[in-house]
Amino acid sequence: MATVWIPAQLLTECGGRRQIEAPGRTVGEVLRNLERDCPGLLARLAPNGELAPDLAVSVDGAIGTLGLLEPVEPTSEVFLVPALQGG
Amino acid sequence: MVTTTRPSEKTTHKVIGTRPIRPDGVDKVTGRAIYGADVTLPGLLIGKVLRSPFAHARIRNIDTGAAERLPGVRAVITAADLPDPDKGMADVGEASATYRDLSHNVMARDKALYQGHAVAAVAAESASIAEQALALITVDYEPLPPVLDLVEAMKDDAPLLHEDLRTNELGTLSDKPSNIAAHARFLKGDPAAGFAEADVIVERTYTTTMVHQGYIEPHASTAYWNADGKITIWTTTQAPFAIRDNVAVLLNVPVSRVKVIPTEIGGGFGGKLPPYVEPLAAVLSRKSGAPVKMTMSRTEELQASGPTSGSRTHVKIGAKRDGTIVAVEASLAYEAGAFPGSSVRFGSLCMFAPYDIPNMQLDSYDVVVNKPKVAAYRAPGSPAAMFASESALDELAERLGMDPIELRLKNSAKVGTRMANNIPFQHPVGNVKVLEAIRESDHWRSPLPESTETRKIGRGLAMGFWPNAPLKSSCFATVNPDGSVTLVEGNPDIGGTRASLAMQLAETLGIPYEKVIPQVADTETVGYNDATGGSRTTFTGGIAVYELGQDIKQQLIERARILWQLNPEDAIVYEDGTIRGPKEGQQLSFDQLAAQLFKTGGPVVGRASVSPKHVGFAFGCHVVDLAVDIETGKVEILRYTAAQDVGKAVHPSYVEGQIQGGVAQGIGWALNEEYVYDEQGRLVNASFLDYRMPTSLDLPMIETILVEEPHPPHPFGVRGVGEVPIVPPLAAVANAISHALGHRFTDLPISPRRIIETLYP
Repeated sequence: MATVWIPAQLLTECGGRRQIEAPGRTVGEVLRNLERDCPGLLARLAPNGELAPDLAVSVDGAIGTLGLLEPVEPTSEVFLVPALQGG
Repeated sequence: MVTTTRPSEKTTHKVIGTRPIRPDGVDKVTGRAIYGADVTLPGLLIGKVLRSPFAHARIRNIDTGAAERLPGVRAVITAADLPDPDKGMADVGEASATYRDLSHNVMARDKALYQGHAVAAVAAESASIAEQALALITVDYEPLPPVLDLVEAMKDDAPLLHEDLRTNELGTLSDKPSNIAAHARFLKGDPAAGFAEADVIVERTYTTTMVHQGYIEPHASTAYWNADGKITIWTTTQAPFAIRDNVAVLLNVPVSRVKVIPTEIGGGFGGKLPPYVEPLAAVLSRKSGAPVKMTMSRTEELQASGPTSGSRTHVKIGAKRDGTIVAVEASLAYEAGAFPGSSVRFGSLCMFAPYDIPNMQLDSYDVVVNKPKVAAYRAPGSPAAMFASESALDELAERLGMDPIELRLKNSAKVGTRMANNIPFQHPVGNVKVLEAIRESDHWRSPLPESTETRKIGRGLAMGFWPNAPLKSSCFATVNPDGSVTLVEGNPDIGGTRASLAMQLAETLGIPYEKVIPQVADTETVGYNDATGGSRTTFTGGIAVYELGQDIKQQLIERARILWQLNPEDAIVYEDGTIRGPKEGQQLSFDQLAAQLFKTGGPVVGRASVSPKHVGFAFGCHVVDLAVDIETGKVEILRYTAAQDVGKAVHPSYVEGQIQGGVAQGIGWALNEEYVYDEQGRLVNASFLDYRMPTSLDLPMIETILVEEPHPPHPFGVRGVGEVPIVPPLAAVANAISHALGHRFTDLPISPRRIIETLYP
């Protein structure tokens, strides 16, 4: 199962747990499966069915562009981070 | 100039690592290059903006009648002429904004939120008529108390800029309206337990003021809203595609109706990501039926474009006696300006990234104040945050009696170290190597000159970090019959990227650099490209041209197969610009095959579109020697050396230039630059006469050390280089002044006034 690192902003929804394991082949599947542990999490992260535009998802340190469709391996670490550009 | 390159391995590159002249050089040095203000069209009108004299005022009424009646005036607009978009997020770099805020920043609606906020605009047949028309517009303001100070703005009883703004408090919206737009946190380990193990704790508060990017070319845009509904915009921008997309939303037209043609650009540093005059010029054009050009004066730039945040950062570092850092805490508050969206979260992410620290809690606050809405500025958020963290680390080294380099080396992050957001470094990072490079440098090994009674000498050191951004790049290239290759890409060339991309394509194809002809195209000619920003153009664009080079090579192999009448299974090799068949002597040069393309199926066009996932992180370590005149407070920079992990320097001269430019800006930030407001929120130094940027007379030649720790996911090992050099100077200079005077300065700028007031209270 993938390990999701819960950002500080969402610890309340997840009962204070910093890391939670959940199955899934994509970020979307993993987050949907996290709903059992963190009710309301998906609505916070993807209010319109897509990852919120100020967020990016990192799987194993890589910043992907597929959002909820980003592939996840069983041993993956999934992070939700602010989207980044630059000056 | 002393420049040293420290490659980690020998490479066989023929083009990369050389220093050819830039393709756009002749036009730029002869004044022929077309910048934003150079655009002219038949029937061109001049647009001007009326700006609020108040920092905070309700707009009760705007009367434009007299202005509209003035002969020569062709259009007058207010916010009523612009749609009011929803709250979707716009693409403007780190300094994020909703479309609604972006629109309200372009033109004030109910309230003016900073001095210089646009309230109306005019298009006229000449600049002088437009100026006269502005004077005829009557605005009925109700002045409100301005909110100018971060601490005051965060108080519960502070006057509110936005009655509907509620704090996003760790993900939950607060009940009460506030000037605090957001409170976010990075949490790692158990900070309380970490501090319990600490033998030494350093704790201080640091502040910086709002500063401007200071690009030499002000914003300038020309728009033509054609009768068929098509809008064409010529503009000086870092982000033609984002300007296209933002203008489309702000004017409520399909994106296909907007074409953005980027002109040459005289600097941006993040300040030319958001739209300012583009939507206004377009609406004035629609109303007048003529093209409209708008340029911002330097005073308008300082008052009403996007500087970077003033900040207040409280830092606490705990360490054991042997120098092991066991915990850090920080609380960062950044001015967002009039609308939410500063880069404070990125500041908190960066501030301890060079170090392996098990326990961290980094809180960030995004705060609105009655000042211009901030924009990105070179490594947005990191300089102010690392001024705090690197100053505190310097003090920690002092308290421990440790060498500042040894303290940093002892706690250095490595592959596998988790950053504040808990993401581990996946690939080799160069922070140890840049520290070692400085430790072994002539500068660090040289003794300081002796201080005198009135001239105190000090040396300071600091690290810098910026994660860089990969994002998306597209390009295509055509092989011409003479063996040249026309490369079409979509990133405005600020720092020599025509050259750096042409070099990477030439290297890929095994042809001379001079054979590649790079062109920067408009938004209808080339595929989508994210901004020239985030230190990404040479990095991601380089991956794109490498991929398109592979595409061209494969196509050329197939053309050779046709010429040589070989079967699909026959091996053909492309190597170093030569195509070789399986038979003895069967080979064609790139030029020879290019000359025969029309006989083998027509032109060869390669293309690529990439979105790299693994960006190369940027680390720098700087050391500065300086002298403080304790009678005048003037600081003289005596010697400055910057070491940076650049991955692979594609064009070393341009890499050195990026480092030197960033250092110059950082020194200005440390010593002189600041937005000075009076009590009413009026900017009192809104010109380059009074806003003091460093000149060539203020700085010595900045020595550079290019450390090459290749970034494996890039085909040539490249890392972005443009942003991180601005990060270390703030703390390096402050640390040097502290050592010179024996007093630790925690507020920037450390101007002569501040030094004198500190020494003689």
